[in-house]
Amino acid sequence: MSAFTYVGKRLPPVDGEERASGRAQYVTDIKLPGMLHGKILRSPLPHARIASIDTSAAEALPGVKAVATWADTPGVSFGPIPAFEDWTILAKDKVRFVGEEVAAVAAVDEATALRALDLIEVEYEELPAVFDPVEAMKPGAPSINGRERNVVMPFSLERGDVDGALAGADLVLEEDYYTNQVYQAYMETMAGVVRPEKHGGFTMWLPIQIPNKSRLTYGKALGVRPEDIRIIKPFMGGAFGAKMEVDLHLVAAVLARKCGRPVRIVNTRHEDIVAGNPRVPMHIHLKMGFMRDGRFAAKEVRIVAANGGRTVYSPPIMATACYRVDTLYTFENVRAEGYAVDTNTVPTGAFRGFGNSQMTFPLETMIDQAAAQLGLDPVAIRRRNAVPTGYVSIHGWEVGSSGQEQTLDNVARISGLASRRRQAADTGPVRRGVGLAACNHVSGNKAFFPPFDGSSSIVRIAEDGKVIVFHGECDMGQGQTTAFSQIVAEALGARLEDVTVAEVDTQVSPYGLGSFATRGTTIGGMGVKKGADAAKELLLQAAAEHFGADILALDTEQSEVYLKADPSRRVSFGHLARGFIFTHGGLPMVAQGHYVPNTVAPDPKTKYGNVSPAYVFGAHVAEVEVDTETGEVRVTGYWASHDVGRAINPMQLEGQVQGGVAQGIGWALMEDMITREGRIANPTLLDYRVPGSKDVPRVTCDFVEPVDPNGPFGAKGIGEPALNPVPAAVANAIYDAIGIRFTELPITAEKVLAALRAREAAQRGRGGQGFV
Amino acid sequence: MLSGTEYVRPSTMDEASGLLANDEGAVVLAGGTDVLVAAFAGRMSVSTLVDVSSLPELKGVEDWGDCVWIGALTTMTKLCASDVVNRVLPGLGSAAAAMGCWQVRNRATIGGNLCNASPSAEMGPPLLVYEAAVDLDGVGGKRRLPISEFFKGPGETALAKGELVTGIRIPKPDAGLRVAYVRRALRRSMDIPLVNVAVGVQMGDGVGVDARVALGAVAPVPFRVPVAEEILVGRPLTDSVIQEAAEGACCPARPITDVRATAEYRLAMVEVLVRRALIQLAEESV
Repeated sequence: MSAFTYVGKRLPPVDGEERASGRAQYVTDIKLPGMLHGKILRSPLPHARIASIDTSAAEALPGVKAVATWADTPGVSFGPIPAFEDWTILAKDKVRFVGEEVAAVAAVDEATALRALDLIEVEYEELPAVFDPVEAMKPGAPSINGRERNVVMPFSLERGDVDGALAGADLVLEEDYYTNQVYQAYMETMAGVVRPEKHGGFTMWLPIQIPNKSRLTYGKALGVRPEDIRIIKPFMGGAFGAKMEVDLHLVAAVLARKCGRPVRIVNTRHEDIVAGNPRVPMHIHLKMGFMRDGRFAAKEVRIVAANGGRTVYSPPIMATACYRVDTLYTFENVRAEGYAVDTNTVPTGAFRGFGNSQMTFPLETMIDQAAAQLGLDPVAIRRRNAVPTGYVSIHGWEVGSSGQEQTLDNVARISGLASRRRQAADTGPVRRGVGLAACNHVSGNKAFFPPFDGSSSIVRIAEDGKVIVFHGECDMGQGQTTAFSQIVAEALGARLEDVTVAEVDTQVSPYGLGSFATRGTTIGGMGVKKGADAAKELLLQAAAEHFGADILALDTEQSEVYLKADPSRRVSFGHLARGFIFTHGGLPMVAQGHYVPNTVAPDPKTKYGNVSPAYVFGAHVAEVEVDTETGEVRVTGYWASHDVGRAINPMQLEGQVQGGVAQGIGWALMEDMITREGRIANPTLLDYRVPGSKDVPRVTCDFVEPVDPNGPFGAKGIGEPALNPVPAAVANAIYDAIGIRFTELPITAEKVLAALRAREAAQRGRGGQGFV
Repeated sequence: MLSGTEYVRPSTMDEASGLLANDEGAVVLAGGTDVLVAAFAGRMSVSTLVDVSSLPELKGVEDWGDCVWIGALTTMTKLCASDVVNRVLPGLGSAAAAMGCWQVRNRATIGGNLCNASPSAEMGPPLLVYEAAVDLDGVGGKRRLPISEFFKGPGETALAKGELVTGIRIPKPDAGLRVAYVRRALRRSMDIPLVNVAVGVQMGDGVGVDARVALGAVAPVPFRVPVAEEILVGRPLTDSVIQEAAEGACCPARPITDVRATAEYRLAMVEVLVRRALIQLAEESV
């Protein structure tokens, strides 16, 4: 029996009814008095000089209140990462990708704004363009942002004796992989409502993962102090990494400032696909040495990643791909070299996994290959290199808890892995196979925002005993509000229904870093727990006076304080709060708490550090059916075991895992932003296929709870690891089914069929291409 | 954007055909699953939406003895649920069940599917196999066209100005004709077929006495494939005959390459799907 009242319970989302009934207010639901509708004129060319812009006809259109170009912006260069500031709110004199913001219109309605866009005359002089990062690094490639070889950031790292270990290895494998560009496909497209305020400031209603951090970037871009920007984050319809800094928010601010009225901009799905923040595509060259007993001797990786036309987060994502997996196993000899490279394509950013998901595909595919060649069991080879609790990785990462071996054992057990491999009944056109892949991840990332790490909260006990929690993190739909409610109710001894978690409003909420790096439950959760702990102290002090008892003689449950020696003697939070507030001139009964993790930013040169307070592990098994006549791959079974430290809410954890698996299956098998000469050829959800409910099997979940010393009640994160191993698990299952290894995502039916036919042709002793 | 678009809901056929005849930009609105999507996306300019949902002449599924008449406004959901369709025209029911998702099938109509004239129209191959005729009515009066003459190209039909599809007339096939509908799409629901195939075979004395093969999504319009049908008539439905017919079906196919699939892949799928449809029928006949 759990000693907890709320932690570990399968509770429905506290805001579920509000969302399901349509009462939840999203940014797109906001209507302000005098609000105008903005639309953005986007570049039709991947690389061009802007010779002239004539906005006079657009300005003359009735209903148009403002037309903005670069001249209406503060004209400064800025960007999400201070080292790579290559953004302007609107293009200055050149465009670098199809979809780049060139001009914008605010009008009385969207239709008028759209008509006005057609009236803006832009003269472009087309420039030679380059779309692939490998091509972009070659001598003579067009220069996009004036950088040497178009390299935004190189990365290198070496530890141990890689060459020696490779020379002594029993098996060395080396392969080129490619992970493609995919779109986050959240339900709510990017949007913003911006109201100009006196003194040149703004109030912004935004679906944004980093309400506080973004103000630093936005302040610089708009020429105001960050404090002059108030950001309110209402309900949010998903983000998956895409909704960090978004230029659209700034375009709305420029228009709002110019016409002195609130401006609303909402991306169409088409705009969102062509100019969002899709996943960083990567060319990955991986070389690994293995010992006969399954030990990993060495790992060497070279990555070339596409940055797109301006820098969002591809440099740290590329760096993450280079070395985060080094804490998935007990690696001792590693070398990595990586480049984030400018390309005339849509700028690339964070997407569930932040580079670690890209790298997990080659790594876990190659380990599978090594196990097969060495005659080892896929579970055994991974267990042989598993990370134990208390392990310190070669890069200094301190693993406070690890349930890795158990996730491997459990997923093998619940999936019946051993009995499912290479189904015997495979004689017809449909072949069945099963694949295993493991993953690791962080629960926070000190490197993402070096100025500080941690979180905090303000917990207020109202005069009726209700509890309001203010924090600076971000629920983008993943269930953070529910998790925080459970953590606070548990720590404070309040009834869950008495706890309200406030939406983030930078004017009242504490400074928080927001949602990224799977940090919400762990770091954010610690912040609200510390606040709740402090609020409990306040209540106990008040109750000590009330009962004339020592504070140590008291405890809380169900929004009441009681005497431990005589639990029938109780006083409600409401009674205590009223007593306190009404004898203190209305002074709010408020507690604050904060959490500073033991993280260490990686050394700029050596990369030695400890980026996260806790590290997570997981293992997935996918079962597939491959139709050898059509190439179609159907995922027929899926099992996932995750080390979550402590399950705060198993039902929400399952939701996260199911979502990650669905998203991962899409990436593995069908999702692809097909780019031709810099133009996305499938910019609609009709042609950009995400999986439907029939494409995703039942996902059976298992959670391992080693209880981490640094998480709230021992909890660690789940968001990103839920997706990380999926493409590798699916690819390994396809190999098990048909004996062909795929090294490029997505593994479409056409690729599978072509590979099968090529093999057939080769077996018949003649070269063959195509399908017929 | 539909600002500036008129909406009218005529209560008689004459009124409807008059509106369509006199207004260049008038478009028939039935289920709206194609028209409204195209209009909102700006791919279709519409001056007037003529909502035909009040016209009784377009409604119902009726057993007329020698044929089945299906009103143009019959939704996919109703087709799937219709006794006479499931009993007499099961291939049509299968195709209706494969389209879109529940929500789309609740709205999408058989008339709309034909008039939208997508090369991959779900109703195309089965109606070709069942040798359906299309009832038309308009300012020029009533007329009837074989389904094979109705499709003219992607988005183009034989409809004259001011003319509407009122219903589909399907001669009841011989009880021995078995029909299979198969399709290949990139996902398992809510997707447009890359290739769709309807095959009908009637066996007598161990050999095919009637064979009908129709393909969709591999040419500007769905079409019958006599070359494959001839292979099947007068011969038993053996593996080798099936394979010959499947390969034969590929000859007239002229698929395109687009973001969903290459022409080569679609062509390969024609063979696979025709073969699978025939295998399904061969197994049923055992």
